[in-house]
Amino acid sequence: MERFKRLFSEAKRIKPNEAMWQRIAAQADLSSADRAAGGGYGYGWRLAASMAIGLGVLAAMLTVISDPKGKDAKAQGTRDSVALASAAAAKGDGNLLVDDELLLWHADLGEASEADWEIDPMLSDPTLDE
Amino acid sequence: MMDWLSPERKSVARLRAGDLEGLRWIYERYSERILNQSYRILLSKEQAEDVVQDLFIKLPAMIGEFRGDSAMGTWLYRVAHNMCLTRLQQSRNRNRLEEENLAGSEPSGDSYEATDLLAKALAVLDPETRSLLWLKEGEGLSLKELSESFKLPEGTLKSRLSRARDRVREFLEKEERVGKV
Repeated sequence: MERFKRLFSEAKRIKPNEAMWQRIAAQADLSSADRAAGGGYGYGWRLAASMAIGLGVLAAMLTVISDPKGKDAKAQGTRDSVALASAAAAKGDGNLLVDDELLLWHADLGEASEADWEIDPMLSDPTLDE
Repeated sequence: MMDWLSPERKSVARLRAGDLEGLRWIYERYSERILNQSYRILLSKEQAEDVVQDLFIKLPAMIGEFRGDSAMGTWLYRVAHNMCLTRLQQSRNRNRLEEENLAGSEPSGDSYEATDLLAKALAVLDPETRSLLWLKEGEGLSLKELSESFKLPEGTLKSRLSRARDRVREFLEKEERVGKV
């Protein structure tokens, strides 16, 4: 074996003396480990919190993905109300100004519902302005 | 991928929870390696023992710095390395003051045995390089592990270790010529 390699392979290794651990055990401040691990919250707590947050996010994503029927039903209802509103506009009903394109856009987003297009009874009372 | 069931992970978790048995497991696994690394840097058995004792006493307070993205040993080697270099720097400052105050007195020498050829060979290198060379050749760390531990590029490590080996070989040849090897 090359002399250089032999130098390391045959190197004397020293061992810790018996008393060293006793001195360490007597002097180590184990309460500082909890503080070092993060302001009173141990590593385990932080790990559990991270996992809970991760699972919560996953559950929320799964809820959104797994309810297509509900979303479709809502969208269909909205498209029906858009059709009604468009039909009313075509009849020349001056009480309702409707932009078909805007209605369809809202319908696609699921933001409009039939209730949204009901005429407010208060607004239709002409005597209110007097 | 981290192995959550490994004894090392369990011990680190126990130490974080303030359990002495966690500290003991880590001590029993790494103290000898850290001691030998420190000895090869400081070239003094007594000072190396002080470093190891100091390191493990302070480990509970330092464990928060260990993020678990490397092996515990890799992290401990770096901690020990830094403690040794700090100690050497403090010792040099003290010696300088002592020399100024007590002109003519001998500065404290290394206490490695005269028969320890490796210690004599490593003495030709600077302390940081001694540490790297010992961990590579004596403890068998890979370049990748050294790079992770000391945050140095592998290329830099490679050339530094190559120069260190050349110097040690030159020393050995010189010793052989004078009949000491």
